[in-house]
Amino acid sequence: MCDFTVYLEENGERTVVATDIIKARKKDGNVFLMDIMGDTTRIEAATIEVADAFAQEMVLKRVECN
Amino acid sequence: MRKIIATGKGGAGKTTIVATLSRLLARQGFSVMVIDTDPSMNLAMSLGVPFSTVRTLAEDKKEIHEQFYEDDFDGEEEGHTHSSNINIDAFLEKYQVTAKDDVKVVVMGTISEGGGGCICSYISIVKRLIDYLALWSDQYDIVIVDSQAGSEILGRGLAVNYDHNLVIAESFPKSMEVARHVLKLARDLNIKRQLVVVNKIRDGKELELVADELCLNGERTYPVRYDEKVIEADRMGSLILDMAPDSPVLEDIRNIMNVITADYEKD
Ligand SMILES: Nc1ncnc2c1ncn2[C@@H]1O[C@H](COP(=O)(O)OP(=O)(O)OP(=O)(O)O)[C@@H](O)[C@H]1O
Ligand SMILES: [Mg+2]
Repeated sequence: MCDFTVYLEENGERTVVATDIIKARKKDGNVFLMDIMGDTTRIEAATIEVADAFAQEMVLKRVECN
Repeated sequence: MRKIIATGKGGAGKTTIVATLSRLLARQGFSVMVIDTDPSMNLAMSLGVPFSTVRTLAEDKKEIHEQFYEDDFDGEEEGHTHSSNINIDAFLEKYQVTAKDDVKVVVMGTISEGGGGCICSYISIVKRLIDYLALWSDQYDIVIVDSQAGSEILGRGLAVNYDHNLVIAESFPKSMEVARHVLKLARDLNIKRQLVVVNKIRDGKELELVADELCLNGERTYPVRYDEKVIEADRMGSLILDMAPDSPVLEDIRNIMNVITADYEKD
């Protein structure tokens, strides 16, 4: 299915933070993810690094806050 | 609400069996909705519903998408969004049509333009609709999904945790190959029970042959005999249920219905 498994990359390691994601939005320094069922997940202090439809992957990176 | 999906190779008999089974279940007193997720959209016709009277979900994709996936990321909290805004019964008024025996039909529809993308988003709308039905509508006892040929539908997660997968197969190698793959994917999706329906049977050995070939893992096999009258009925946009109610095909599909309803009683 054309949806994304979303990974958060931190310190060179990837962890899955959400699956079946159909929509992502950056807002106030956070990334909001919505899945196929309309459930949302908020990833704080993050930005979208890559969205790859072929691999069905989206990679987020932590943003360092000052 | 119980959920059934029918899967299998092209032409194996999915639509014929779903349409017939839905009406037999309705005659038993269940309120039944069937959803056609095949972009070829034959199910309504098999149920005697003129296609011109059907409004497909795909036709209103943008509007439905906004309703079902309203972007309300404004809230600070995570969790389930906006779902309470949807009046599912009003929604159904627009998209469901009534067939014989009071079976309700919803048609997913298809891409309207060349290069119009894939059908994933339509499938996700169907998945969401079925979940809404299960949560907020007590209108239906059973939803049956008729699918596109092949196993792809099970790669989309539509049928996670369904009660039954009806694997419709004929006893020839290409059909069994699709059945084998469908069985595997359905196991991954935690579908509770899989019934292998061997359709268009002309001799008794076919059932055994399919069971051996598929190396079944507890799944049961059920025969549906071959009857020319099914094809005749199909040509006239009708069902054997109306054209030849004494056909052995109906006896076989009734048997499958009894197995399904007996499973419901066990759970
Ligand atoms: N038991 C049967 N005996 C004789 N013909 C049958 C039987 N079941 C189905 N058919 C015929 O087989 C053909 C294919 O059936 P049907 O359209 O139900 O298959 P399908 O799996 O839904 O196909 P598709 O994958 O194209 O949607 C039709 O002409 C139908 O009338
Ligand atoms: Mg069909």
